[in-house]
Amino acid sequence: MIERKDTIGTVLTAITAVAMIVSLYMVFLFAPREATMGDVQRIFYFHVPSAWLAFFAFFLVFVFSFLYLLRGGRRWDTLAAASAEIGVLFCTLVLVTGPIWAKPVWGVWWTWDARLTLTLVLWLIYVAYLMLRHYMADPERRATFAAVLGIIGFIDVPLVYFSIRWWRTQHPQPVMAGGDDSGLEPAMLATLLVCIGTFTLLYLTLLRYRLKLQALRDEVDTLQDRLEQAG
Amino acid sequence: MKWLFAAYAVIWLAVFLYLFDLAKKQKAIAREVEGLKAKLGNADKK
Repeated sequence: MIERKDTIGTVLTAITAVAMIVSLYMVFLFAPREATMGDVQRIFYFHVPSAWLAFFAFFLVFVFSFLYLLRGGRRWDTLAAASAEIGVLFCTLVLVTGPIWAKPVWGVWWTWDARLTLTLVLWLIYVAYLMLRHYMADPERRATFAAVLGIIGFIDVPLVYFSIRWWRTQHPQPVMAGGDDSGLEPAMLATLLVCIGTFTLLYLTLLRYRLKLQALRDEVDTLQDRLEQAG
Repeated sequence: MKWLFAAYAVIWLAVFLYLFDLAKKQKAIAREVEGLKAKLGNADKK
C-alpha cells in the first residue's frame, strides 16, 4: 500500500467535520421552528447549501474549461472533471431533497415550474458531460469536447438562479436579496450562512480526495508506459 | 418529522457512498501502482 502524508488534506477534513457538527447543532437546536411549515422547513438549511455547492462546482467547471481551452494543459481538464462530478452529486441532492420538502408543504412531489424544470435540465447537462468524458476514448478530443460542454452548460446556472425572479413559480421567492418582502429571521440567516460555509469546505475536501485519485491514475499510466518501454 | 429525517438521511447517505466509492477506487489503484512498481523493479534487474 502507498502511504502518503497529506497534512493539508487531513486538516481540511477535520475542519469540515467540525464545521458539519456545528451546522447540525445550529440546524436542529439553534435555528427557531418556522411558524407555518414547522420542523420540515429545516430541510432548507441543507437544501439551499446543496444548490449553492452545485452552482459553485459548475462555475468552477466553467472556469477550468475556459482555462483549458485558453492555455491547454491536463491540470485544468482534471480539475473540471472533478468539479463536475461533485456538482452532479449535489445537484442530485437538490433534486431529491426538494421533492421531499415539497410533498408535505405543496402536497405534490414535483411540479413543472421554471425553477424545478431548469434545475432538472442543469442536472441532465452535467450528467451528459460526465457521460461524454466516460465514453470518449481519445484524451485530447475528450478534454476539448468536455470543455466546450462545460462552458455552454453553465448558461443554465444563472437561468436557474433568476427563474424565480423572472417568472411566476411555485418555488418560494428568494429569501436573501429578494426585495422588501424577503428576508430571514437573524438566527435562521446565521444558520443558513454557516451551512453554506460548511458545504463550501465539503466541496474543497471532496475535490481534494477526487484529485488524489486522479493523481494515482496518472501514476498508473506513467508506470505502464515505463513498463512498456522497459519490456 | 419523517420528511426531515428522510431529507437528511438521503444527503448523508449520498455523501458517504461517494466517499466510500472514492476510497475503494483509491485503494484499488494504489494496489495497482504497487504491482506496477514491483514489475518495473524486476524488469530493471533483468
